[in-house]
Amino acid sequence: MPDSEIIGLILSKDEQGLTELLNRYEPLIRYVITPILKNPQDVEECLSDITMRVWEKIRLYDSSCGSFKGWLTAVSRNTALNHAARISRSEYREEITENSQAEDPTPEEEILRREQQERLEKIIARLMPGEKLLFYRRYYYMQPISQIAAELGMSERSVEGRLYRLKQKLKKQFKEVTGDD
Amino acid sequence: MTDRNRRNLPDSDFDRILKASAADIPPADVIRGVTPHRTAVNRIITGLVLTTFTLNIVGLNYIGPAIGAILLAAGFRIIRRGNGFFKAGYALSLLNITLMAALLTVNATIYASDFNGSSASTAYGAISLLVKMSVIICFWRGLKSAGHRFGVASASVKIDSGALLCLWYGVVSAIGLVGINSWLIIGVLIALYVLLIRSLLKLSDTLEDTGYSVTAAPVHVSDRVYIGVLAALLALCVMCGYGFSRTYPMVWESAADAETTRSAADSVRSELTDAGFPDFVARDMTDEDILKLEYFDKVFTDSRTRTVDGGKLEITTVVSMKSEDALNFSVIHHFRWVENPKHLYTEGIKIYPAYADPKFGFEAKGEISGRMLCEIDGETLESEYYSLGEEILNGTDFWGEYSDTVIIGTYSIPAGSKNCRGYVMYSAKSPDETLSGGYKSGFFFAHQNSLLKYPHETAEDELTSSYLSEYSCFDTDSIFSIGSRESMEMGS
Repeated sequence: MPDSEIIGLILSKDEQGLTELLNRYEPLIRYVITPILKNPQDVEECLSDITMRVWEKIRLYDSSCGSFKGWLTAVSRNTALNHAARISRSEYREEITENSQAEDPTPEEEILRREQQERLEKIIARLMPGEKLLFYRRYYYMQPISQIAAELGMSERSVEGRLYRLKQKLKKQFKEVTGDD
Repeated sequence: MTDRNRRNLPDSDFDRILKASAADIPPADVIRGVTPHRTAVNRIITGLVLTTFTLNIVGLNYIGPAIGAILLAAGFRIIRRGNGFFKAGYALSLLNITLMAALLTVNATIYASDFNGSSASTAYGAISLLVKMSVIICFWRGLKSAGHRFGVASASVKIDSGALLCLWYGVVSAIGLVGINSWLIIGVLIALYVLLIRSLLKLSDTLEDTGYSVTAAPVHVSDRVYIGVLAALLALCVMCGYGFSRTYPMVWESAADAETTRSAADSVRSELTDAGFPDFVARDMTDEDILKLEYFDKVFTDSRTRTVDGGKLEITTVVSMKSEDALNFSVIHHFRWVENPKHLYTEGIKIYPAYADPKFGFEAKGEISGRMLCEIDGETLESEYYSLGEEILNGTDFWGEYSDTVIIGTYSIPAGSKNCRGYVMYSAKSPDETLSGGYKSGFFFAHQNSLLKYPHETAEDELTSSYLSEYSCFDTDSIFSIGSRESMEMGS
C-alpha cells in the first residue's frame, strides 16, 4: 500500500492504517530502535509507543519537509531516545537529579551551543556521501561499530579508523569556522 | 562555554555536539543509504545481470561474468547470516566462482578450442546454468523468508523478477538445445532482455522496506580485500593457464637412440642426393620415409626463406618420382628455423596436397608422415608433431562455400633449442595414365607471436579458421609449389 493511503487511513482514524504501517515499516522501525534500546522487551514496548505516536501525531507530518519514511525514522529514533532516557532516569534517578542541577546550562551557554550545532550542521551537510552516511550511522542511528562494520563490509578496526579520521576532520573544520587556532 | 573551553573541547563534549547536530529528519540520501541490505542487494542484482547477459566484444563475455560472479559472492557474504536461503546462496555463489575460475583457466590454455564445443563444455554449461538458477532461487526465496520473519505480508514482498529470470534461463537453454535460429525469437529474447533489466533494476526498490529485516554478517576481512582477493585469484587462474600451457606438449628424444641399422636407407639417401635431393632434407627424414623413395631418380627442389618474428624460416619443397613413372610422385615439404623467432609458443603448417585439387586428378597414396628435429646443447633431438593428419575444412568465403582437404601439422619449438626443423611427406598417384602430370602443392605456416588473445588461440586454430590473416597473434605466409614432369618452382 502506498504511503499516501496509509497516512490517509491513520488520519481518518482507521486502525487498518496501523496494520498497513506495521506491515510495511516494522522492519525499518525495529532497525532504527534496536541499536538504541538493547533490551528486546524495551524494543517491543517502544514499538507500541511509536505506533501510538504515529496515530496521535500523524497530522504533524508535512510531506514538503521530506518523505514519510524520513519522518517515521525521526519519530522512531526520538521515541527510542526518550524511552532510553526514561529507563536511565528510573534506574539512576538520584544520581541524575544531583548531577543534572550541576550540569544545567546557563542561557548564554545554551545560545552558544545552538550556534555551534548550526555551524556543525553546515559542515556535516558538506561531507562526502560516504562520510555523511558513516556520520549518521554513528551519531544519529547510534549504531554500534560492529553493526556498521558488518553492513559496510569492513572490519571493526577499519570503521573505528574511519570514524576517528572523520571526527578529526569535523573538529578541525569546526575550529576553523569558530575562529580558533 | 568560554573561549578557553571551546579551544580545549573535550571529546565527550564534541561527541554530544555531534549527536545534537544531525538533522532531526535525516536527508533523503541518508535515509536511502543507511540500510543493512542495499549494498548486498545491489551487488547481487548487478552480479546477476553481468552473469546473465553478456556482450561478445573485447572479452566482455568473460570479464562481465567474472565481475558478476565476484559481486554475487560479495553480496551474499553480507547477508549470509540472514537465513538459510542466503547461506545457501553464498555457498552457491562461491561454487559459481570456482566454476568461473575453471573456465577462465581452461580458456587460457592451448586446449581452449578443444574444450569449447566439446561435450565437456556442454556439461559445464549445464552445471553452470543450474548453479546460477539455484542462486536466483536462493536470493528470491531468501528475501521472501526475510520478509516473513517479522510477519510482513507476502503481498508486500512481490519479487517476480526472480521467477521471471529463472523462466528466461529455461527458455534460452531450451532454444540453445533445440538450435532455433530465428530472428523473431531473437527479437523476443532481446525484448525480454530489456524488460528483465528494467525489472531487476526495480527489484532493489521493491525490497527497500523488507530489507531492513536482514541481518548483516560480521566480516573479518573487509569487502575491498575480499573482492580484491577473488579478482586476483581469477586473474591468477588465467595467468596459470597461459603460464603452464603456452606451448604444445611434445616428447623430445635423442635422435641417436632412434637410429637402427640403416645401411639400406643410407644407400637410398646417397642415391637421392646424387639425383639432386637436398642433403639436409634427406638427413632429416626417417629411414622408413627414405626407403619409400627407393628407385626415385627424378628430383625437383626449390627453397625460399622468410623473415618471421625476428627469426628466419627456410622452406623447401622436394618432389621426387621415377623417370618412367611421372604419375606417381612424393612431395616433401621441409622447413627449418635457421634463426629462432622471438616468441616460442605454438607453430603450425598447413599443406594443400597435390591430390586436393580435383582438376589435377590425383589421388592420395599411402600414409602422411613426418617428424620434427632440433638441437639442444649440441645434441640432436627428435619428436613427432604434436598433431599431424589430414583434415577437411568446410567454410564459406567470398566465392561461396568450400570444402578443402588439407594436411595440418602442429608443433612448438622447445626453449633453448637451435635449428628446429621438420618435414611432412605425402605421395600422390594418378589413376589416369594419359594425364599430363601437372600438380600444385601449397605450404602455409602460422607462427604465434603473442598470447594477447583470450580464449587462447593456437596455431592450429589459426590454420583451421576460414582464412589466414596477418593479424594480432600470428605471423602467417604461404608458398605454392607448381610443377610438371620436367620442372618445379615455388611461388607465393
